[in-house]
Amino acid sequence: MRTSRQLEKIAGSVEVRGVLKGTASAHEGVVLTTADGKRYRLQRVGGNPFRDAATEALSGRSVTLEGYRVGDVFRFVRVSEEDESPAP
Amino acid sequence: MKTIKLVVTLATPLRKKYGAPGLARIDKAIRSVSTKDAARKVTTIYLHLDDATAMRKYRAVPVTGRPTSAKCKNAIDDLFAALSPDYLVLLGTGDVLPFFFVPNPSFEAGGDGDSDELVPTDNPYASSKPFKKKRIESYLVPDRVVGRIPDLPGATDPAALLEYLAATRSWKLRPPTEFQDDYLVCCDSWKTSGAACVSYLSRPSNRLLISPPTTRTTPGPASKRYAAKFHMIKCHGAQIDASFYGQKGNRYPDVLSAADLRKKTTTGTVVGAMCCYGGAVFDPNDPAAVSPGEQPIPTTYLRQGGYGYFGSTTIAWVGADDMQCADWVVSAALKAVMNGASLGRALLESKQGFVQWIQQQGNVPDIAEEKTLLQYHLLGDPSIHLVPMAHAPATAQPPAVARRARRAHAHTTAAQLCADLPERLVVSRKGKRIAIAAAGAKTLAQPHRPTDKAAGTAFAALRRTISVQLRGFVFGSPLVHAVRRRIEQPELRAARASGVAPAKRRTSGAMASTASYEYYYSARKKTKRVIDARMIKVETDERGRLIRTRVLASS
Repeated sequence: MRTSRQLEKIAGSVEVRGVLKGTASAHEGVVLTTADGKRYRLQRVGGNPFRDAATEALSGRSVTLEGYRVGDVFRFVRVSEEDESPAP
Repeated sequence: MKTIKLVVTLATPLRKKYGAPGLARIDKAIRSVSTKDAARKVTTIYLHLDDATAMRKYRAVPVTGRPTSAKCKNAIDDLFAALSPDYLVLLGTGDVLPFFFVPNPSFEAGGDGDSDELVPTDNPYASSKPFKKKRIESYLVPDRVVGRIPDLPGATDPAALLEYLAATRSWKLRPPTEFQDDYLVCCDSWKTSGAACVSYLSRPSNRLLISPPTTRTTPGPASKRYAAKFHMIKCHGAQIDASFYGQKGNRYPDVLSAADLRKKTTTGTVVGAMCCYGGAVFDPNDPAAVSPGEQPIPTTYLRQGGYGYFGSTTIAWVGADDMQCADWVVSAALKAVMNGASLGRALLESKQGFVQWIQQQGNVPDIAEEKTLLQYHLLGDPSIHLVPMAHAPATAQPPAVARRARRAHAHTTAAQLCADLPERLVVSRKGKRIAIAAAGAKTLAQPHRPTDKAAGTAFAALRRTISVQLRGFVFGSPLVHAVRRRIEQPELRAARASGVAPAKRRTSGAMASTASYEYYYSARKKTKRVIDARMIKVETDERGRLIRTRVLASS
């Protein structure tokens, strides 16, 4: 009866922006926006959820992430640079 | 007159998790608690809500099929009708006895604000009213003394539950001096309100540890205080994470981790956490956990002899410069415990007192305060008292009689507080007016709704008044709520009864109503990579005249 959570892949562009505004957890977070406009707060499994250099390093890049969705958070375990060349 | 503690759970999910032998061990542990309770003149009644035979004895409808919170609530309400218990214990976490998932009043869809769409809550179990999802007044203000003793989600061994039951079985009142030593910790960013909480708790402000510099790795007094029996933690927390974090500017150092607490908790500890997700119990083996395999902080406390833990299931609202929302609910619960209330009564009185305090100032709970009331729960046995009552009652009533009187008072208070709650409708979000189709919306005087310009003028005036505090903040379009309060006017009914016509322009019924509009402006200021956020509430009447303003701060 373990918590089942699907390993997923998402892709999009990453930026640093204010999240959870006005709440106790308001902070400058790393956010991925997918091609269809959905936004996820990015957190690395094993990293500090509020401030993590490895996550912040993704800012300004287009990436594909592998991980788990937890509400509006995407907790990732793997990163790969998005292939910018069009598929043949 | 007996004092009754009702312990309920569901056998089917427990059997599924732990097998028949595991369930038998849990049943045996509860029987052992019952024996000890009997010595304290408390009658413990333990029931599986899905046991038709046992439930029939109390003319209660058992839970059948897939267990839902609504079915469990109905069964529990039946048991309350038959037994009128003083305490309700919900045994097991959400995958055993489900939480209610209710709409989050402060949810900001698609924005950068509060992203919790739903709030897991036990409030409906703690309310004697029938649960109606769309009517928040049916579950916002509790009137029952309730606590949840959680096991671990996804566990296959009931050790977490059994260890808590074993530790609390022999609880007894301790002198208040045992709780003088404390562990009080707060983010640097919130140290002003943290100090206010400490002062409210009648403790010296120099006991408050500030993070940073206090972290889990820096040498200091923090780790020496883990063994203290009184803990207040006002820090950051995250989903499925066994750590809490301090903050100064853009630094968020680990200040407390479940691993740090191992073998450090003293039996009889009470904990209040203002942290986001501070009371969320998760599966340590969830692959999305920040520290895979690490147990949740509440579970760590409770397994090691912590008696009670007040925490939030979701993102919490706190004050940065003064006490707000979670600061009040947690501090008041901790204070009540130290005044001799049971753990469960402490949270009940804290929530009721919070609403009373808001209403006494002529306000109604706003969306952040409503969420706070829903998200806080007690993890632990609600019947446990840590210290004797600070003030002995004036009349020497038997304890059970006094308890019954307190329960009746709680019920009446909740009913009065709920009667004063407003009807609330979101009428505009991010500058877009929302078409209101609900029948009730007609009563909210839409034609009289002030223009956003009217509120904007008041908002601009406020910004000018506190321009120093708000310098550099960028405000978006407001979230607008229409709020209608109904005010009972029994004197009008008396006038009609005596044949005297009501005065002109008075309402003809026994109820008068007032309508107002609440504008919530969210703003943030960016300094390098640091975010400072504010939520400003402007409340106007139907004609756009300013009633009041409020600034909710966060770091």
